[in-house]
Amino acid sequence: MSKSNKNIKYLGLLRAILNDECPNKVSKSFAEDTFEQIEKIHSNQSIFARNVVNYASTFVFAVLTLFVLSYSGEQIKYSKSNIDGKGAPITENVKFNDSNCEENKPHKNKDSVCK
Amino acid sequence: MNSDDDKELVQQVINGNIDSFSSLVQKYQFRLINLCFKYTKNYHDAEEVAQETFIRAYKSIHNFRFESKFYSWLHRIAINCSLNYINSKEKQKEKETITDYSGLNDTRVSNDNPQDYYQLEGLSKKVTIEYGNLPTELKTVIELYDIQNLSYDEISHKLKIPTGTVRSRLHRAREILINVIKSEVDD
Repeated sequence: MSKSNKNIKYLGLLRAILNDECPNKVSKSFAEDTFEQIEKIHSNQSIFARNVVNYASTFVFAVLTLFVLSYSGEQIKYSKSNIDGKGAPITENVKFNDSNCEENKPHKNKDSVCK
Repeated sequence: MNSDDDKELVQQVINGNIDSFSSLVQKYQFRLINLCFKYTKNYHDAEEVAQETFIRAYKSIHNFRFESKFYSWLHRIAINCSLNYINSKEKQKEKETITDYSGLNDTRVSNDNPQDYYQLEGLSKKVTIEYGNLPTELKTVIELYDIQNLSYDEISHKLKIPTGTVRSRLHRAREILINVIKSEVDD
């Protein structure tokens, strides 16, 4: 116990005696035990406060991100008409017409097929 | 720091200096245990209720408005805690009666070691005798300040002496009495 705390304890005891409010006995470890309990509460409160700050900052970050994504930058411009297939070009199969290809000539030899 | 200044200690606790609360516990433990003992009639329980009082005071210290003295506020909390203790004891008694567990079954044995306690009865008598033997001018000042709770200015006005003289007389008187306490309680 620090010297100033000791002096405070003596003063407290003196005032208790002078005011006739002194108990017959007091546990020597009472103040230490009590303060230990209070320190536990204090550290629990600190952890709780830290968690609250963490959650709050996460929430604020999420809200800000949503805001930025919604209202800033280029917005998507939608056309006012629906997309349909009417104007689309008609597709046809592609035919391969290379006259040089051996495949189009009559086969003389089975081994000379165009590969 | 002036050891009489509770408001400064309380302000420090509110500002986050938990160690200042330790000083308040040291200062008021004796009076508070004595107050709780009046309700509990048992020293072990009195200490438990006093501890609960300090814990509640710490938890709600932000609600202290500095309009009253810190001890008056602590006193009110202690009375509430003591009344809660009495109510819970009565409920427990009723339960025991219903379930037919009478006091005969209470086999608690006191494991209290006398060395773990400050035995204050004898000390109290010694200090009272020493207080009676103080020179009148010192006794008057300590009586007005520590028993009647007057301020330095009020004592100065009442005794028609400068505030500095009040302070020095109080310091001398306390020193004599605290030396008696130190010789008995020093740990």
